[in-house]
Amino acid sequence: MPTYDIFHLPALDSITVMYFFFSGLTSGTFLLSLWAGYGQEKLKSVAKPAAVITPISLAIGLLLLVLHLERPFQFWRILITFKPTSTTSWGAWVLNIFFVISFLYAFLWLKNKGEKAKMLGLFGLPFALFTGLYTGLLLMQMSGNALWDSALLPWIFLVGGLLTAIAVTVIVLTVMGQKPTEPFFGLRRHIQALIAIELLMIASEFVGLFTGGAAATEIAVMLLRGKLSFWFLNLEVLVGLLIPLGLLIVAKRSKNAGLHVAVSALVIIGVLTMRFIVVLVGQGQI
Amino acid sequence: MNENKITRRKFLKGVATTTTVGAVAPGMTNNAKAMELEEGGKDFSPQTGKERKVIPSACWQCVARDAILCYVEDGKLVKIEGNPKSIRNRGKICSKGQAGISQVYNPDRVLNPLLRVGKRGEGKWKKITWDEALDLLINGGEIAGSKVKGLKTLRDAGTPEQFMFHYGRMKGSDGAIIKSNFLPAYGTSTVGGHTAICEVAKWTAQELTWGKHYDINDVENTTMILNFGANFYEAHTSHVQLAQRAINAQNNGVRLVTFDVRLSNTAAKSDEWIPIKPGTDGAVALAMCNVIMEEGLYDAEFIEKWTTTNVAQLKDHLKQYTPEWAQGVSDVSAEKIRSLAIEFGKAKPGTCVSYRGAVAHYNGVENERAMKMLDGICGHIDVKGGTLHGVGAKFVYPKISGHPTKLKILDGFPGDIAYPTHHADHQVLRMIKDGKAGRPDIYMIYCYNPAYVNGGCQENIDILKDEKLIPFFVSVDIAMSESSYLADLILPDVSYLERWSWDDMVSYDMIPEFYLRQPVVKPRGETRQFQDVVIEIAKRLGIDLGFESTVDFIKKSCEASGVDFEYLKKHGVWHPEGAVPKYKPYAKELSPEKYTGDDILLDEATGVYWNWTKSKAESKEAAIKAGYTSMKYAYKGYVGQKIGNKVYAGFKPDKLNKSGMFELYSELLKKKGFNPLPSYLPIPEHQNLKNDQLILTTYKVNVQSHSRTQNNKWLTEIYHENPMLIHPDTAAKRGIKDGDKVVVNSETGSVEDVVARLTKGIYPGVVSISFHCGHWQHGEYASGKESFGHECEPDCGRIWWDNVGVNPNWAIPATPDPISGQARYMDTVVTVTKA
Amino acid sequence: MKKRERSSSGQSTAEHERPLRRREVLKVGTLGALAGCTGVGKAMAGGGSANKKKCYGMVIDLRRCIGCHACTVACKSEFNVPLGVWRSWLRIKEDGEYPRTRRTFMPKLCNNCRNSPCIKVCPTGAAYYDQDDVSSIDQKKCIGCKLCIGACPFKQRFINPDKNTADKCTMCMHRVRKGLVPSCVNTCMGNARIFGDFNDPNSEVSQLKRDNKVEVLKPELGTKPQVYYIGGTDR
Repeated sequence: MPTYDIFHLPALDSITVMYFFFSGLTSGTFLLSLWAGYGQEKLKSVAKPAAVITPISLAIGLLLLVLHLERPFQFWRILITFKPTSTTSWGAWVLNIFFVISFLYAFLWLKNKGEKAKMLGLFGLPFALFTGLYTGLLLMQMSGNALWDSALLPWIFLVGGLLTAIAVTVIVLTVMGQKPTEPFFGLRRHIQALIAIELLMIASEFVGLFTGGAAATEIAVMLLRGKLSFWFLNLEVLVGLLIPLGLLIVAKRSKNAGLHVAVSALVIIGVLTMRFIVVLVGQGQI
Repeated sequence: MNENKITRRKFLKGVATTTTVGAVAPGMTNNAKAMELEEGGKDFSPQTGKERKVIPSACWQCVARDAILCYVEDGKLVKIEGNPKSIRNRGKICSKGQAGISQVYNPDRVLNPLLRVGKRGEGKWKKITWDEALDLLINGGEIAGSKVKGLKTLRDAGTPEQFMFHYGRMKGSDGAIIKSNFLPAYGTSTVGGHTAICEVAKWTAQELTWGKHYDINDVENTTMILNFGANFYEAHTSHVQLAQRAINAQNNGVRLVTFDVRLSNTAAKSDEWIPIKPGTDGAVALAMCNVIMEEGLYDAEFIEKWTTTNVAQLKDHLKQYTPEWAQGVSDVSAEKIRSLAIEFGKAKPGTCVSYRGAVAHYNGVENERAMKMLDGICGHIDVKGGTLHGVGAKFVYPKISGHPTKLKILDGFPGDIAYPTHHADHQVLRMIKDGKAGRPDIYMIYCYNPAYVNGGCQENIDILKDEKLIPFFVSVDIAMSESSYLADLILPDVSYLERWSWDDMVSYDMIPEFYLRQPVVKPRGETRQFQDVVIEIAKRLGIDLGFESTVDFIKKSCEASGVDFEYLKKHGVWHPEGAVPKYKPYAKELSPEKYTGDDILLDEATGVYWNWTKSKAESKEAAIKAGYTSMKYAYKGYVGQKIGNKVYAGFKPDKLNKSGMFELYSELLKKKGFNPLPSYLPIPEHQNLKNDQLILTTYKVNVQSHSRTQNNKWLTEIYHENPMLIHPDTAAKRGIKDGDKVVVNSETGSVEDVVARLTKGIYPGVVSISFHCGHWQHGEYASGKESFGHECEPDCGRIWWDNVGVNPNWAIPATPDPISGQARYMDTVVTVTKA
Repeated sequence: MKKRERSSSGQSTAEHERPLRRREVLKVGTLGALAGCTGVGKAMAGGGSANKKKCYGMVIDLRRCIGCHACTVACKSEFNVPLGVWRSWLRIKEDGEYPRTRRTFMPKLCNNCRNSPCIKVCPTGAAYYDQDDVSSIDQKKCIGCKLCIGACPFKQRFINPDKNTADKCTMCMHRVRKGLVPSCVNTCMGNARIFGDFNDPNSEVSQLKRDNKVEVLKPELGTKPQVYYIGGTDR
């Protein structure tokens, strides 16, 4: 009997994880659309669908946010208060403003007013970046959890959001019947680059964990060798990052729609796993 | 009297004034006063801020029976705290005491008289009225097709002893009404209790040595505490009293050393925990006595004048018990025994605490006698800071002297037990099965769960289920239990929080505390205090008990005792004016008129003056002829002890005809073929253990008491799954890992589905399972099963545990020790296998 | 305070020994450190009164704790806390090698931090410092977002299933304001829990804090807990 202690139910559950996922996706699609709209000729045709996905994804995200509350009908209270110390308070306000922006942005794209949309998009850029980063900031603000105690976390979340944004856009385009031609190849390079960045950040994260004291080291060991190694090594890193990267490199010129969908699906699985691990392990639950 | 209470605040102030003497003191005190918060006595609703109504009463979650304050909000009991006016528990109460609210509101209470309609033990019941229930009990009738006799039938036939009354918990006025009035007036003394499964070996050893059974350890005034197998920081007959005083003592630098097979919380808080082989505490105590005698640390005057032995004889007797010998027996190092003995011998005063860890063994009486010898030879007996007889309230109350008769089924099988001074209650069902000494027609249990609490559960169940062995089985209970489930008729009693009684538990301050238990809320449903029920039964039988109700009885007791009933109602406790602790009461010289008179005899053999009319002697001549030692109940007439040519109060005997001396040398034991001086009795079954055999011991935890608090949700939430504690080395040999499911087997039976918990806090070769858990019929919180008439509350849906633990009694035999009849809860030889 | 001077055993974490946090290693902005009791109150509660601010807290003398759980149950009863959640809890830990095995007890409750992460993360202001600077929850304002639960480094907050809002120990302010000690303090038979105002230099808690080596939980997080332990927290 080494320790007899009681823990309360964890604060963040799978609904929260899904909400994190969608807010990342929202941020990613908006940034992708903007990126495609400005300059990236090869990606031009991606700008519109990505813009349309953004408010839809955010709507789902906001719905999940409300659903994860214990008192969803008191949600309005968050909108009559502004607490500068609370990341969530910032988040609530930013997300709401961003929802309006992204809705207008998508509307403009749909009306084929690309130039106006791009102008609005520039205004929306900081909001989009914040949306992508803030779930990580929120976890950082929760003190005493070794895994969350990392400045890299928001950036890992942001890159994860961009990855899923591309993956979801590819799937949507494929479903809409678009042939895997030029814009796809552009997106492929982006996926490769983002995966590389994500892998680098995860590696630095481990450096941080191994030098961050006993609790942090314990988590690192658990992820690499312990009961979570399957989820982390196999699902998040191998299935979610390395296999897609490998597929994209090996099948360089493939025009197979199935391959693109498969890569996208794997990336989504990887990012979702990452968010589950970060949230649940961070709470000392597993 | 409350001046005796040392509160934290007063204690602080005292320190402040002594350390800051003079100049700064006034300012300090004023400031301190301004910020002072009161500790208790009031309570407010956290929701509404309204003051809650307070009613003083008395706890009954365990035998410690502390004084409590109960808070009521909108007619509902919401909180219990200690009564700050109590000199015993000093405003404190343990977790169990506070969780007692569930005894009133637990969803599985029995709220109506229930009559069995199916087969016995089938769980089919019919709610009936009290009138129907009492009619059946008094006049007999038919239960599920079988005819049963009633109380009146038995009494009219001249066989009232065919009614057996068996109680688990009954003290104070609860017992006085039933045991001293109703039962003798009815005519039966076939009356059993439960002491034999508790600590009877300790009690009998006290009675053989120095009289009344309750001893206390004045830890707050001592300089060293030696503890053999007591777990007073978790459970004790005076848990809250002793724990508070002991932690104060420790904080003042008093050393506490604990011998235990298991790292109990008490052992954990001790300065030293010394793991010991089960049942060898006596060997260590004897070796310590040996060292103390050899080193000359003994109190020669006490030994020579007040004991039945002398220094030379003791030295000679103890020669065999060297520390080296004790090391071989107990696995405690000789060096440690020697150094502790010297430390204890030099401690002036010290006190030796002992409890079930040391006494619930085959050799329990001898172990306890050795510990009393340890205290005795060091001069720690009846001195401030030593080991003393507790002082409790002595209520004077109405008594009826009848001539009850009894079935000889209370003291175990003939020849098994030398001095069953508190009966052998775990043998009752076996005696009934055996039938040679007769069988009761009506077997009534009161606050007692024989199926669960006695060893050998399966046999208990089989006997209780058998209508041929027990024709009419009545249970008086507050909630469904394993035994009530097998009864023919359940009479719903009120819980202790809906009850009237006076009570009298001993006080560690050596000043009696008179206190009252009064209803805090109205009795739920159709429940009735059973004392009121017996008064009605008596009326229906045409017996005049001389009091109208329980309250009437209490008022009459208060009047006779000089206690103001209204004062008790208001304050809960009362202490006689001017009472002070009395030390060495035995050394008081008696004036000649005390021991002269026609009724008083001097017994030359023992030097005891005794009043023969208080014994069972038919005439003075018969009394003289028999002599003090051999005359039944002679001890009741004890007057004084002659030493030299003076007569002293002496050590007043109780239950046994011992002399007024501190009997280290016991003629009574010699007569029964035991060594008259305290000796080591090896436990036969432990001498040649096979490789795969282990010793199973049992224990209690801090948040449960016995078997009756498991439907208290706040307690069971904390402690519901009792694992089998096992040392990692012992476990490794059997391939057992932490959390594995195992089976514990003995000759008696097996405990299934036990979770192994590896801990370095236990002696290797021992496994230990706590009592409390493993209920199979005790309501939803305790057993996971709803009882008949279950009434849901919101928390029922929030039970988050599904393992309700195990009951070690399935594997523990119901066998008595040879002297007192103690149930041997720490001796069972078992094997443990992976499930 | 002679009786409290018995030396304690096994404590280790003095402020200067604290390990660096990972965030500090990574040189990313930390949350602003806040000073003593009074300052925080004014800053967080928005405007102070003329009276000197209180700084309520507890000293827990672990040498006096016998691990009896009376506090746990007192708290359950005081607030009728539903099954499955606790405002006050006792951690029991076993270590050491046989026969020098040790078991230690540590009562845990809301630390009433002066720099509370839980209050910072609350988006609606439901978590706040009340007029006496006690970390409190406004049940009306709480929307049940559970961020405060995640933010509490001591895992002391939970969702009360009766109210669906965050809940935790309130230091029994409903009693304290009526002149009574908190319920757990009242019932502590070892007198291990001592409650009072750290801003009053003459209070028992102030004296104990001054005269003994005290520790707080997770000092490296800078939350400024107001529950001080004597006798080794051994986290």
